[in-house]
Amino acid sequence: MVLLATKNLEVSIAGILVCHDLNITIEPGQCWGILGKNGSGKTTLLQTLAGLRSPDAGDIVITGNSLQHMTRRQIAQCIGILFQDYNDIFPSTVLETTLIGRHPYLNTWQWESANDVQLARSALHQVELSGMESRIVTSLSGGERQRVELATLLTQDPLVYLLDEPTNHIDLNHQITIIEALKARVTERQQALIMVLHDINIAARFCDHLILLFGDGVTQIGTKEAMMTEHQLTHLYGHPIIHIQGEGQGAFLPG
Amino acid sequence: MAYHQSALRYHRPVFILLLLLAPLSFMFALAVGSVSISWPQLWAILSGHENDVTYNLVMELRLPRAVSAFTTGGMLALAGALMQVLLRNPLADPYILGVSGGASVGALGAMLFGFGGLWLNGAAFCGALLSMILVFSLAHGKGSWTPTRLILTGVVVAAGWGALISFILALSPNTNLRGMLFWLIGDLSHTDSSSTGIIILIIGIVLTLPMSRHLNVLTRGELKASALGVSVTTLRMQIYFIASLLTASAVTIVGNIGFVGLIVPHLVRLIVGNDQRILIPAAVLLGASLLVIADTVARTVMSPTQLPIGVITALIGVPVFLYLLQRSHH
Repeated sequence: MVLLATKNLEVSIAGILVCHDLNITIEPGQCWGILGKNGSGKTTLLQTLAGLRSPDAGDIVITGNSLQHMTRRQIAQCIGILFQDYNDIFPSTVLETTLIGRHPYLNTWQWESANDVQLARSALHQVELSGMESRIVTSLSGGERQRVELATLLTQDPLVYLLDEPTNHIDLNHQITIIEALKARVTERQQALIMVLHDINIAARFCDHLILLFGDGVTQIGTKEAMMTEHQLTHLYGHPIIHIQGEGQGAFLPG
Repeated sequence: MAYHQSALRYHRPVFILLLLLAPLSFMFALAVGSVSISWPQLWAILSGHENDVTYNLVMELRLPRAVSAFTTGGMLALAGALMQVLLRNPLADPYILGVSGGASVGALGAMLFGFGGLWLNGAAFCGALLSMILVFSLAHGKGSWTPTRLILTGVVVAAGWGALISFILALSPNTNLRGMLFWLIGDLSHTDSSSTGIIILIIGIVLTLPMSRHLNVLTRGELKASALGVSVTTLRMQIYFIASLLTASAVTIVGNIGFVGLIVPHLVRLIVGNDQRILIPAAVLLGASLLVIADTVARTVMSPTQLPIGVITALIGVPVFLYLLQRSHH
């Protein structure tokens, strides 16, 4: 069973190659990380996987269907994405913002049902924002606003979760609990998680597979054990990185 | 409270008030003026029991004028609400992309060459369409169609029309100037195409309501809307054309009436929130009734002198908008 697969995927942005001949197969319950330096094309790759930009070559297949042959609405029922930034032009409440996640499932004249509201409330509970349903989003702190975005994604409840820097703005305790909860949910529901990450240690803690983007189209794909070595990461970031073994868990540090 | 499921029911009092305001505004418009008409008299006229001079005054002068005000008010409020979503800019109004500038150049050009009546309307509408297509194709270009690009193109084209308007005014003989200025600030005293206006307003509403949840998603930004299943490019084009056609029709019927399209969506947003499924019908109703009231005030407050309606809407609109702007800072 394969949830998401790429076939000879080639992606570039502004004439710079991000990857070519990329073949990945993502199975239910897996958690993938995308690592690379600034400008290596992590976000571009993630948005291509979400069907938001077309690849230069190759194909993306979700549960057996090519993205090219799906409508935006069908894609939105399978793939959800958390963006790095958001800007609120008009004021609306936390609950309204979260309920937007049900949009792909509603028909033209259909309003959000009590069940949809329940989904949104439990998503807000998962990101620890219970009780803030009627707050106006523009009055939230950066971390709270980011968690509303996560709750919207949980309300969308796609098969594949694509997260661009999910830990941005979020404090340490919430970083760990939220990603843990997300991972537990993905495992339980046999969905999949793909995260662009800056923090190597978050990647080491949660991801079982990794895509390393070296820039200029050079990529490496593999399991965490194969990818997360001092040698690979030093090469990836162009800066010496050492691994320190602590009690029960280790950590990567810049040397 | 399951706010969303019952959002329409929750806002029912607002809709009841707005639905009451509409006939009240009409009664006000029909009864007030150089000849005052009492309620029993008005009732007799409307039910067809009275057939004297007042009948003609009400049915042939005041009623068509009130209908024109009602439809153009609805059109401008709807177009304004749509432009604010399209451009993701709270300061957007129906005229921001130059549609009214094009219409004005068409209308003033027609006046300069001595055309009037239907020719003038036709010229105004053609000018509006020309501007709409010009801005659309220039903003579309080869690249992407971002709100920023659209707004810059529209504002620059509008500035171009502004220069042409000044040019025509400078060339015009003094006898024409008063008529031209009245047209520019908005004037309902020569309207005659009220049935066309109603049809266009209804078409606008019928096209907009099914897409109003998509509009909610679009306010979150282009990428987010795409990721949630909205075909952003198509939706934006639909909004652009609906809003532009509504604006073109409104400008053709009554000239440039400021502030209705900007203020009414904001007023409604303050009352019912930003869910477009509720905001849009409420804005249409409020805009329509407000313009009927403003027009009645305009023709009676300094009677026998009739003020252009644009003066009244701007005099109400400027302080209200400044107040809202102040409020939003706190």
